[in-house]
Amino acid sequence: MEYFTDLPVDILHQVLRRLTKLSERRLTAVSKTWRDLIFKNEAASSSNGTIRYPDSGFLVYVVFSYHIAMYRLNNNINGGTLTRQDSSTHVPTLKQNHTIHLMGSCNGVLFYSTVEFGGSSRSFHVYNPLTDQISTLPDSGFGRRSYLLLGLALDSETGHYKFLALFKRPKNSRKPPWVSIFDSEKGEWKSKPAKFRPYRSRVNLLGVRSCGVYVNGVIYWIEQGRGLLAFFLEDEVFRYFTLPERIDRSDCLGSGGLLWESEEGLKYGPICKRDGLSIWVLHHPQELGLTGDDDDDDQHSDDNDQGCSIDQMSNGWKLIFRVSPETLISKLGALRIDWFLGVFGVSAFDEKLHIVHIKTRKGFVIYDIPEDTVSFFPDYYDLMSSVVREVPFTYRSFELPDFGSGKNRRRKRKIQDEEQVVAPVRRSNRIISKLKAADDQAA
Amino acid sequence: MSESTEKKMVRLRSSDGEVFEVEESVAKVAKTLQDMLEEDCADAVIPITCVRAPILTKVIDYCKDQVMISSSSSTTNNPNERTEQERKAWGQKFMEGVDSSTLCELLVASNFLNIEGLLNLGVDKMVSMIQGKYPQEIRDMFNVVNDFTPEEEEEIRNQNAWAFERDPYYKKRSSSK
Repeated sequence: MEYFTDLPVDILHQVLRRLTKLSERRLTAVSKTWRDLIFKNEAASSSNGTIRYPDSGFLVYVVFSYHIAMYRLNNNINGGTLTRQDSSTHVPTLKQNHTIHLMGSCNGVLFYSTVEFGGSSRSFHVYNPLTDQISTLPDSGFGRRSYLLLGLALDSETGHYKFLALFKRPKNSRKPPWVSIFDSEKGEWKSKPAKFRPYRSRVNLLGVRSCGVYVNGVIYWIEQGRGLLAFFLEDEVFRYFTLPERIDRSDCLGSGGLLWESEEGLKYGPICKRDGLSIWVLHHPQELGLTGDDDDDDQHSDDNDQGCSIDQMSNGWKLIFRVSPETLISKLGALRIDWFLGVFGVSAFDEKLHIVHIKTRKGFVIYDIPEDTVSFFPDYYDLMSSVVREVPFTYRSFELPDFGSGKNRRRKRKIQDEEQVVAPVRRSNRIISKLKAADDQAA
Repeated sequence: MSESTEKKMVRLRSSDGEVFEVEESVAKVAKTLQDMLEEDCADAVIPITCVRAPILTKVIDYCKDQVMISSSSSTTNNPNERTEQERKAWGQKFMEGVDSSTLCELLVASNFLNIEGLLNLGVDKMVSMIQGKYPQEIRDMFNVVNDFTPEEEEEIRNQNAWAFERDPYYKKRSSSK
């Protein structure tokens, strides 16, 4: 009798949380049940949900072992329902000996990688659910080398994209990591050493390992324990930025909060034990302070705990919304969610309707502020939906570039919804020139 | 004891039909039972369908101890109150000699009865059993069937080779074609 599998998933997650990394890795080789449990747990903790039109419903992607399923979340006052969308939209389905990793989304498309068991390479795909089109990137030549971080920047006007992966050098090398960029316009990969500004002698990116969020010509990642890492597509340089000063990252739940894209710009939604839930938008990127090697990590946090006004600015971030920890605990407590252990952060926020989407280990929570209701979309065990990403439902039906590898599928579908996303304006020029000036001064 | 006649007793029936009589206060340590008792829907025997007698005995032992602590801790400065250390030691002793199958049943029981303290003890025990062990040791301990093909297992080991270095239990199985 296999006792392990009889245990409720909750308990297994509790066990996993208390294990060391080493023991957890070893468990992955015990059996398929454990492997799936751990990998799903892991993927859920590094998320990049994006959402832009929650009022029109949005999509939830569920990764099964071998394919991505798509659900539409209908949000209404009485809670919500989850409807499977497979009938209307085809989702990528793989051969049995492949595994799929959904990595992120950008402007409404998904990007994912597939690996064949025993195969020597990982292939990357960009998928537009609306046109049901898959654009498979040509072989990168870097095999299955593990990456530090990934990012996708897609222009919703033209459908062209740039895909970026940052790789570590071998253990003993002192050289900086290298970055490989795929440009869909040129249809080729380009690799070069990564440039960091300010230069860092030690690059400690181990905590990142996630997919970036693309906003206005820049891809952003949260770097654990440090701040915001940004890659500027214009001059292909990584730069470091600070997060809102108020946020004490050691106090943050999950891996320090999640980022997501929005029309206004980059949004950041950490949940802290002391500060509760807060949502920030990066309003004036040029005002960001640079964090270099010498910078102290322990920044002074503001003393004004109470009475923080809604327009509070911090390091170029603007606080647009806040929920006190007490309210949050009582709300999540009503759902019996252990908020210290089970909550990752805010994954989306709808300003018009004031609806907050919170990602938790057990599923996701929708907190409707005006109605003062919380609804919970649990991680149904039969769905194995611990990997859930939300992407906007209404977006542009641009054509993805095709690299003619024969693997690409193209099935035209009638587009019902003509609503268009405003194309991101490239506003990064000004910022770059400012930063360059700052670099020169420093040198 | 004459005292016990005043106390309300509750009867619990395990999945294999054994009936246990415990004080109401003891049963109330389990939140699930507390809810039932408060709603007054439990004057007869409460069936606990997913818990076997030996496991239920252990659970009741735990609950009795909790009652003892909480009844004595209301008065200040009493000798029965435990320090954090003592509590830990007690927990370890309580879980001593519990084997993997009992542990799993105990976890299921405490989850069903909603006894947080016992659940935590169980999880801690399980973590200590798994921590640092190689896959084969874990499989042996918990009777897990290795459902990987040799290729798959090698694949997964290669993904995190650092964690599997010097695994004495693992021999690369040659793939049969």
